[in-house]
Amino acid sequence: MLLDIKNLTIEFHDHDRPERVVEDVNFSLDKGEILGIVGESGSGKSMTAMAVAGLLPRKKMEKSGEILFEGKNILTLPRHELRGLQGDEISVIFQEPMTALNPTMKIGKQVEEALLLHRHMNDAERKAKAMEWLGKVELDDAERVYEAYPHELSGGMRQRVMIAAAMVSDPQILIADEPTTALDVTVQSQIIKLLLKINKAAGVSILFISHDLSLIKQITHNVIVMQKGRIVEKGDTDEIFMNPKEEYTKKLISSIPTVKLRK
Amino acid sequence: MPVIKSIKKIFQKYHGFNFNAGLIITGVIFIIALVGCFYTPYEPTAMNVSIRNTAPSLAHIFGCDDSGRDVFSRVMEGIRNTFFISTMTVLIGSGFGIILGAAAGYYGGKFDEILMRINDALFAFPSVLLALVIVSLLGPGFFNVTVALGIAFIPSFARIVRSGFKSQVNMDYVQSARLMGAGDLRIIFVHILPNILPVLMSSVMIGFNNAVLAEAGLSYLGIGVQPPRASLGLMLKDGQALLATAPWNALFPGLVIVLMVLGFALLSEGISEAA
Amino acid sequence: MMAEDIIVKGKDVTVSFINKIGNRKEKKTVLEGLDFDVQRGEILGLAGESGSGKSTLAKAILGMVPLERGSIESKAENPQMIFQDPYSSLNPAKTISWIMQEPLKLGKKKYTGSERLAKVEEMLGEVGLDAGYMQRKPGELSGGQRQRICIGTALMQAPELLIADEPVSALDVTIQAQVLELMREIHRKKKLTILFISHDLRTMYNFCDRVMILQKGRIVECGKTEDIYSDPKEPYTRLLLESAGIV
Repeated sequence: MLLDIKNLTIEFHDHDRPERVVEDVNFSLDKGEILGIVGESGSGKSMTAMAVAGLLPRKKMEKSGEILFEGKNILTLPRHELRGLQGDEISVIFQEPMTALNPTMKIGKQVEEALLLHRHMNDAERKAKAMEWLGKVELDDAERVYEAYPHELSGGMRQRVMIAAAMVSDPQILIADEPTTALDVTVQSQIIKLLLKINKAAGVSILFISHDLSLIKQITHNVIVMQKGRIVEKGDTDEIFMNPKEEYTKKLISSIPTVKLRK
Repeated sequence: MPVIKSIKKIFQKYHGFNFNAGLIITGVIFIIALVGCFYTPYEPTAMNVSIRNTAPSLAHIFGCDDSGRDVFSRVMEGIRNTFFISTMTVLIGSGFGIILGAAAGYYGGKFDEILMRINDALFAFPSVLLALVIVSLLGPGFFNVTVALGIAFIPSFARIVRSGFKSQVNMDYVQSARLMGAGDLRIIFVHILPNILPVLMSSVMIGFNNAVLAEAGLSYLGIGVQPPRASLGLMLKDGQALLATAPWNALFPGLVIVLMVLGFALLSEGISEAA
Repeated sequence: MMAEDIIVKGKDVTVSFINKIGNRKEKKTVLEGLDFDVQRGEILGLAGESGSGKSTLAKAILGMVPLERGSIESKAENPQMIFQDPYSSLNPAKTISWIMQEPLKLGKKKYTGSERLAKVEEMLGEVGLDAGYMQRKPGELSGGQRQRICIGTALMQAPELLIADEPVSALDVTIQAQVLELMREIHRKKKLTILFISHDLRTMYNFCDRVMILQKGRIVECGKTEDIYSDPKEPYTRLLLESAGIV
């Protein structure tokens, strides 16, 4: 077991009334596993993912429970230790690759960022490693991309760059928060295939957050269904899609438009 | 009147400390200005050499000035004049500012570019300096200062309104109003304007502030309100020479200016807090 | 002369924009030589990825963008549009009642205040909301409720053609199904013609009578939904269907 989440509860305190956005969430992530968290807006899926990434703000928020990674509780880890994990052992890719990349910085530098922070490498070693990953995310002409700025790339290419930047430090956990939602369908399926390939080749565990059940079905081994901050159902993805136990899961699955061709 | 209704709603919405404090201060000053139109304890221009520069007493609570005029009565008249000039300034500035800014932001294109380049050129001057230029063209005096300040304030309002319109004009609700057959004027004033009122209200208050200071400044320089009429800036200038011997001459008008500015600043803060 | 059952006919529709990058002007052709027709009473799906020109085509049909070449003939009375983002398509400063009355105030027929209110209440019922929503503002409503208001507002002028630009893409999946059901019901009751723009081929399959696939401003393929999905003629259509996990 790589990651173990116990009784995770998150409460917002910046309104008059505290608002519980995640309530008593328990799950674990194994090495090499792709775990999906699926839910609608307000389900707490992104909040849970951000908690695992250690990206929750410290103020105006009450957190209880444990997120155990290599025996350390991410929720209570001091800031400098947390920074040692982020971008090294735990990486994140976001929905919007345009805003997640720095528009004034060359792609190459951004991909190398994690190495600069976490590894003792010289410039040539870093560049070699970055180029290796730009190749692995199947960007043609990696040399050109290395020297380019984000606006010179298409949405799909930017998301590939994000994946390269996240993977360059060989993390154990990759958190993907709606990584394909902003992309066109054809690009979307390419990115999904790429993530599956990287999972196999690098053995990285992926926490895949999405509202899109058909994506979850395609990519994940196990799935957690969340609603209003709570886990409704969890288990093997195929099993849940075949035999959903809970009403809400059934409703979610039945709202995927089915296409039964007559031919 | 939808605009008035939304202004009313804005006032209902704000009840923070800043807004309330600002409302009380400006309210009291406004009432004094209003009373000053009909009644002052003494005639503000009546001189009495025998009581020159007497200190505040029960009869003359703010004391008397160098010509033996009652300072309190003159402060009342000064508030009235300053209030009138700054109100007119803001009305002229925001009125034309809204029209020009709305047209520039809504229609965009060449019209917008030309208008905004002119605006930028004017904006490069501090509004007091711009008013000075206009006064030197029109000549000094009460009415001219009002017009000059009003014109000087148009660019800043136009800029705020324009950026508000720019952010709204491509919203889908504007598109759909257009599809339903709403004309440009209706879209500008009925559909879009209420959405930028909160921002506008806040800058109107800051505008008041600047206008009070600008009027005081111009009168201090002697090109605003002309003696024997009173204005806060003029009194400050006259009182300055007597600061050592009869400080009340400058102290009270100065204090009122500070309070007015504080009041409007608090109001503006309160409005932007709630927005 | 258009045939009786054709409501919109496009011939050689070409639209381009001038992009200004610094001092350099660049002409970008968004739609190029489209020939199409929309039949009265059908739901026509317009599918394509970003940059395919599908939204521009909708705007061209509504006369909101100038054509560089070609023509669009439309017999549709009061065409209306609903948009993807229900947060920006309702005026945040107004109440629902005001928003829904506006089309009545702007239409040719004049109504009194109480007639308008009665009509708004009736329409709220038709889109599945009660009269309690009238005094609320858009900010107090959920995305699905807002989209219902948008649909209701668009129907106030009794349009013959309704263009829906990704009307459910911004909504949660369970809400999507409800809003689509509402649109289907309205289509049945009002005998509307609907132009349904989407990138989601799964949703389209169940909703549209015909689909038109666009790519980079050109029509790739157009035909009956079932025919296109079961037997795509063009490789691009096949790629789209494959990416959506359909074939």
